[in-house]
Formats: sequence, structure tokens, C-alpha cells
Amino acid sequence: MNYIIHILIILQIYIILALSLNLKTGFTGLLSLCQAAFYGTGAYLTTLLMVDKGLNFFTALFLAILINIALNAAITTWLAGRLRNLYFTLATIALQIVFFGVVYNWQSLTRGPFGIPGIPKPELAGIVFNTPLQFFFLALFFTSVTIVFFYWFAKTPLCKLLECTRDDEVWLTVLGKRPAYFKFVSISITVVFATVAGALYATYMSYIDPTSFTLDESILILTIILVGGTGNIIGPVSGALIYVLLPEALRFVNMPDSISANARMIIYAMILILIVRFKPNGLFGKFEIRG
Amino acid sequence: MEAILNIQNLYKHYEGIVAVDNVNLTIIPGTLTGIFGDNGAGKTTLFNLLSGFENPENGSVFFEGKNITKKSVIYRARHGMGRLFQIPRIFPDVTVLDNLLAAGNNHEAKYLHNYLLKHSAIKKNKIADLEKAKNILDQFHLTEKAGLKAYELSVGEKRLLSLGSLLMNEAKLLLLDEPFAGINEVAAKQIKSILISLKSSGTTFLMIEHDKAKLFELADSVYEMKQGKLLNTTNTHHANH
Repeated sequence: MNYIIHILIILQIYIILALSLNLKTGFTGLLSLCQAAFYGTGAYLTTLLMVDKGLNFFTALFLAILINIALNAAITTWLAGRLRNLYFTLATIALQIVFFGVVYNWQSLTRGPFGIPGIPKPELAGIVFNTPLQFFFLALFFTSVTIVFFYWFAKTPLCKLLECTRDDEVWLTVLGKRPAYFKFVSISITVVFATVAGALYATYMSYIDPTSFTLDESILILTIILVGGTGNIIGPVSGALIYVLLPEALRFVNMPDSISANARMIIYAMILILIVRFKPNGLFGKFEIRG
Repeated sequence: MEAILNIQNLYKHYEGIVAVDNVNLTIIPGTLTGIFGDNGAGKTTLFNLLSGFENPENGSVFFEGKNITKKSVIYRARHGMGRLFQIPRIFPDVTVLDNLLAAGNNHEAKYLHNYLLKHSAIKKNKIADLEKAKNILDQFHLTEKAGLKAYELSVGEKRLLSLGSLLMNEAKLLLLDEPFAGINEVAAKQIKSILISLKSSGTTFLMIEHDKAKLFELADSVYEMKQGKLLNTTNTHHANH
């Protein structure tokens, strides 16, 4: 039972990450590979505020969101204002690598490769989310909030302006609107939810180290929305379902351990190639991701 | 009557080629001024200088009496200057109606916190913008295509959508770059009648056009651009039919 609950908690974390990347990459057209940096910054900030400063989970999360916006959203918006398309994507890879380098080497703060153990569980009004089932409900709350928010947000005039930013920045400028502002809004919202996912991950696992927030992780989250599709809720959610549940399903196939990991990667790659070739919008996406 | 646009000694050159050579021009509100000229004569550079995409080396541009020579594209757009590009610019993956609504002036809707604090203002502006967009769709015969993605429109329809978006943004002066290029006669007639109707309701136009016949038919005054210089050809001053 705990195994299923564990899978469902991880699934929800990826749903939050995919939905938040969907806004930046799908709606706003900022193809980026630094989602794990946003996620990792959220995890580290929440952890440090809880462990070193003794703050409550929710206070730490709130402060982590603000700091993460000031750090990552500001830098990424600055990059997005100066670089276009593939150049922007390359810059986000650099940002991701810089993030990894910082958390790996700044040992006095992050404890580097040793990681941070003993992260306390979230607590609200005397209830400690200690057991997997309790944590599942906490994750469910945040996932529900995320889904409701993005469902609502997709219908707002502001979201339409993000789509316009994706479609033609020059035309938006000629119409008197400032694309950089809309990019900042989109990236900030992405950062908010990535921080939530990071905080959930850190407190659920009770331990974090830099290897959970690598470029591979960013590629995986991007792959989730490439496969599921962007521009709606169902696309990223279905992508997360496929990529989280598929490896678990493969556990039940009698495959030697020595080849199972490679076989999994081959299956992932095959899915991605087939989707890109035959369904460029992803399984349920509204529009194609552009680089 | 005070000029809506006053261009004084505008000058721009690129690597030895003078693109815009001391151009002077005054445009009165509610008129259509036409410019024709060969490729490379400097027409597009002049439009780039007027709309803020490029800065002149010399000279000034006054819009409604204010010096806007160094102002940004956004500033000019917000103060009523619109530019229609030869290759129509639209938001292709957004519906026709949403293209128009995005160009509207629902300022409160741009800020996320306003959805909590000024919900009713956003709603009110949205209704007003929707009403305005519907009128434009009606006037431009695009009502039936309101729900289509903009990329699905023909070139002529895309140009109308572009024009409609500028009107949603309350442009008072429209810089039209070859509005009749690449479209069939039916679409050309439609654009022509829309321009006449907008002019009669007070909109001002500065238009670049290769088709001299169309230009002389529509314009109150026509200029030829040659090697960066603007030469006054004639004052047509006729009523449009």
C-alpha cells in the first residue's frame, strides 16, 4: 500500500512540475531546460529555512517562493529579454548547470554532495504530515490547487496575452504591450509552482542532494510536456502519468536488472521519437512547442 | 488645424547609402497621405523611423505636438500610432476574436493581483472590449471566422485582422505598408471601402503603396520617395467614392 502511495506522491510532484513548465514553455513559448533548477532552488530554500532557521513548512515555503522569484525568475526573464528561441534554450541549460555547480560546491550552505538529511515533515495546526498517507493528502491539496489555478488562469485575458507573446512579440509591441513583462509573469508563476513541488519533494524524502536536480531532470520534465502536450491541463497530467507510471509498470516485466534501466531509457526515447514524428502537439496538446 | 504628425528634417543613412534624406512632412488629422517609390527608395526605413523601430541620426518627429523622436515603439503605440506591416502580423495560434481582445485596452487584466482586487473592473473592461471587437468583426466581415485560429485566414483577412487589432488599440494615425499587396480584387475592394469609412470617421493614414492608381484614388496628397528624398507630386484633394 505504501508503495502505491509513494508512487502517487511522486506522480503529483511531477504533475505540478509539468503544469508549471506548461505555462512557460507551452503557453508563453519559452522552451527552457532549467525547470530542475527552479525545482531544486525551491527544495533547497525550503529545506534551509526549515532546518537552519527553524521555520514552519508553510512559512518557509512562502519565503522560498519569494526568494526563488527574486533569483530565478529575474535571471530567466533577463535572459528571455535578450535571447530568442534556441539561444534562450541554451542559456537555460547554462543556468541549470550553474545551479548544479553552486549547490554541489557551496558546501558551507548546501552541504554539497553529502546532501541535507533530516528535513522535518510539514506541520499545520498541530498535525504533522508524517505518514505516507498523510503526506499524500497534503500533496493532493497542492496538486488540486495547482490544477484549479491553471484551469482558471488559462481562461483569463492575461493568459491570452502570454499566448500572444509566444506568437509574435513584435506585433505585441506594436500594439503597445510589453512582452518582457508577460514573460516575467509567466516565469514567476512557473517558479511559484516549481518551488511548491521542490518543497513537497524535500519534506517528503526528508533528504535532498544535488543529484535530484540535474539537467537530466529538466529534460525529463520537458519530455513529459512534449509527450502529453501543452496548452491545457490534460496534456501535462497525462505526460506525467506516462513517465511516472511506466517505469513502475516495467518492474513487473521479468527483465534482468542489468538491462532494465537501459531498456527503460530506450522505451522513453522511442515514445518521444514517435510523438515528435507523428503527433507534434503531444498526445493531448493544443499547440506545438517551438524552439 | 493642428498637424497630427509633423516630420522635420528626418535623416538616416547606412554605410554610405542615404536611406532617408532630410524628409519633411506634415499630416493633418482625418487625411490619407500616400507615398510611392521604387524598392530601396527609403519608404520602409521612413516607416521604421516613424514607428520607433529605428532612430534617426537627425531630425524630429512630432506626434500631436509632442516630440516622439526618441520614444519607443510601445510609447508610440500607446499614444495612438499604429503600423500595419506588408506581411500581416497576427497572433497565428490565437483565435480571431482573441487577437482583437489582446489588442484591447483591458489594462487591469494585465496584473494578476487585479483578478482578486479589481475583478469587477476587469469584467467591465472585458465586456466593453468584446463589444468593440464584435463591431470590428462585423465591419470587417469576419464575424463568422471569429472562432477560427488566425493562421487559418487568407492573406486579405489576416491584413483586416491586423488593421482591426490596431483599431482595438485605438490607433489615431495608421502607417500602412502596402495594404493591397498580395490580395485578390475582392479583398482589395473590401480594404479600400474600410479605409474610406475609417477616414470619414476621423482616422488618419500614411500609406506606402506600389499601385499608384489606388494611391491617387484614395489619397488626399501623394508623394514620391526617391533616393531617400520625399518629392511632392500632386495634391489630389478629391472626394473618395
